[in-house]
Amino acid sequence: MVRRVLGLLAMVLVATHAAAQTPQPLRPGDVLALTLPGEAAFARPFPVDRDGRIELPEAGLVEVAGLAPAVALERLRTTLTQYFRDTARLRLDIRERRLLVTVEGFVKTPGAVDLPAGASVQSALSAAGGLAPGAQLDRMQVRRGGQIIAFDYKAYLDSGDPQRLPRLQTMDVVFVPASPLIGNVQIELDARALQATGDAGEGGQAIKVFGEVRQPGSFAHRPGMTVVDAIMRAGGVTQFASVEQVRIIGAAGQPQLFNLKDHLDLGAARPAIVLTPGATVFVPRETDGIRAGAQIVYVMGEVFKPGPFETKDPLAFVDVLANAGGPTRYADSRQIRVLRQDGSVEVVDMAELTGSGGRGPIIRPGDAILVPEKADQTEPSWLKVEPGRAVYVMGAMQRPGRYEWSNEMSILDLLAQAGGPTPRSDLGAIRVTPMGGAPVVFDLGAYAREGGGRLALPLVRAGTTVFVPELPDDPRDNKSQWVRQPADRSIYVMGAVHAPGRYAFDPALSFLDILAAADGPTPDADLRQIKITHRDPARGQGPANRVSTTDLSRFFSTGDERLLPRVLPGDVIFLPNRTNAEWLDRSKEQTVRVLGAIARPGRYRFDDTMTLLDLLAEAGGPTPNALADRIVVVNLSCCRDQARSFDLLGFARTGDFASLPVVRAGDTVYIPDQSQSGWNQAMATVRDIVSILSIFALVGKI
Amino acid sequence: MHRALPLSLLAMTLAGCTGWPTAGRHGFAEHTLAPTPDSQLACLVEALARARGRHPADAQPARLVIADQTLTRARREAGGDLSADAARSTAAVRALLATDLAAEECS
Repeated sequence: MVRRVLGLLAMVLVATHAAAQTPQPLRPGDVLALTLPGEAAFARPFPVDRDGRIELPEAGLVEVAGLAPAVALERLRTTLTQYFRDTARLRLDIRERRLLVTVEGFVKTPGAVDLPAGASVQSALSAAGGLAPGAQLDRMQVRRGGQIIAFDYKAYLDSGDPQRLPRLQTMDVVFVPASPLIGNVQIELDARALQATGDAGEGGQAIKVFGEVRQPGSFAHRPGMTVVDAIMRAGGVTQFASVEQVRIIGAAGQPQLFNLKDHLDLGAARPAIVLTPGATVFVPRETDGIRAGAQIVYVMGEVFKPGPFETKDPLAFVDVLANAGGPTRYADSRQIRVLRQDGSVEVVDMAELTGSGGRGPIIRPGDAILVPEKADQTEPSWLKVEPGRAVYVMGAMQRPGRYEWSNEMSILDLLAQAGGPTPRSDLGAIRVTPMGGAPVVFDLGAYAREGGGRLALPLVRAGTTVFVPELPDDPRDNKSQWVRQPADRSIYVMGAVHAPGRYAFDPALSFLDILAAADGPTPDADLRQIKITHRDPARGQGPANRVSTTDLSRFFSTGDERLLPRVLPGDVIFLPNRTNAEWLDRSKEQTVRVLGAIARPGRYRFDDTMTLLDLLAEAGGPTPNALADRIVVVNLSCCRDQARSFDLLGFARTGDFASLPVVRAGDTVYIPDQSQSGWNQAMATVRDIVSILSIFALVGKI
Repeated sequence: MHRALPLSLLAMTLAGCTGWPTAGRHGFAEHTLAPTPDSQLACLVEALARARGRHPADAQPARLVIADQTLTRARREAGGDLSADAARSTAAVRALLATDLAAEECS
């Protein structure tokens, strides 16, 4: 029994020893050394190819993989016996055991690689040209037979631990998968863009970070990853982030609030939340919440950085405004309001403040500063200018409307602000009406011509209305507009002019201006007798109106400006008609009456350049029965009237101009006829006497 | 009958010799080349000529043109038995020439 047990033990030991001595079978990648003395053809290595064969001289391919070296040697001897002698001396040695590996997937040159014994995965990847961009590092595979060994190459790169990589065997296939980020379309990989959007390989496990972070995206989860890690992975928070309100939603859906500010302030007392795979981190905007409190100063409106500012101490107005970035160019810096916590309002004028060098009122926590928007003049909304600061510009202006007023402005500023008057405005009669006061007429035309200081300008205050009247478009056709032209700005032209009417007039204009404006006198106008009524500006309250006569024809003949009358607004100019004038219009002192035996008796205009001969010729000359040698002239004298006769026939015979009697306007010329001659008179008398004597004779006979 | 003859002759005489004013004269006095009999008018004629000579012919002041015309009238009136009117017209001429005349000149 003991012998049997010992014998069994001995067998086991022998078998164990035999097994330990049994060499590894040949496999692809092995490099064999065959020795056959005297045969030079064997003096080279014989690699076992991927099919497990070696190529022998003369004999060709022989499969050796999987055979023990001794078995393989026997097979080779058998094969070589046909070609070589003394094959019993053939020896087989394994010179090198190389690894024949295939690298596939996202490498630069996929394919078979031949590696030395003991080569690692990294060597295989390197032999395949290295990883291609887009390779998924943490999910690589080694395929061995039907087995798939997954490994995390990234973990190896992170740690350097070779245990994280599988040991390669010959005929292994290393597979490098593509990252899901590269999508289904082959494009040039932009690593920076990929990095920006996260590196998560699987959506379900990824940490999603969005909101006010610099690079929102999905990121791979790592064990122990905290919310701070996730935020840092996403590039950190932006300036708008509300770091006190970070929200985390775990994979199970439970929401959680995280105060990053507290965490940073207090450290370990407020540890960062550890994220579970698939968690979502949202960093909201700061403005999403409302900050309020007793330690806040609010700055609103047209500043560069409006918003609440924390302060515990009272500050100067300028300091607060500077912290808010200062007023923008749209700010109405002259109307800044300080809204006190107690409800009172204070107006701050920055222009005044900067002029005086002050720092403005003290701003206490709880106060608010409102910087209003500057009133845009093209802005249709009128609500921006309150009535207490508005002036009103109306009438013939480019941009009439409500304007904001400041007491350092003048009416000129206002008119300029309103775009200036239109071409048809009447600059001479701008009406400035203060609120509740009497209107003042301002002559802008005169101011522009003659100048003057600010004292010459009318006083404008908030609430004042400035009205700029309009000139009529056409003085001949202004029936609907004439009321818009004030009477004291008008002059009236009537009678024999081409365009009689009512014209806007200015004291700076002259008589010729208005006559030309009325298109001048008609051909029938009596230029010697132009009547001008100089009306009293007080219209009956002062001295009476004055009437003057102008001889415009004398002006035309002499060019003497002094003959032209001075006319003013309100005056009336009348040009009588020369040809069919009313005879009543000419006084007896202005005409000479021509009576008797004349072709055209009547009243004739006469002046001292004319003589009696001109008058007789103008009246058509004496008739045939005129008593031409007894023409009588009756002189109207200041002091002693007289009559003189003129012998036209005698003058014609002698040509004695000294015999012409004096004739002046106001005189009367009478041309008797033949019946009034001395002879005819005598004969009539004789006939009368004869008739009387005849009667006496008859009476005596009876 | 012997008493009616002288009566009729008287009537004839009256009818032929009465009823017409005396002949007028000097209605064109400025045309007369003879010197003006009135020394004041002669003085004014000269003064006016001097005054008008101070201005170009095409730029005569209307005041002198009117004075010229009024002086013509005065000369006519002086010669035409209208001495009172002539005095008035002369005064008007003097007024028009006031700036051209020395004090007491042509008075």
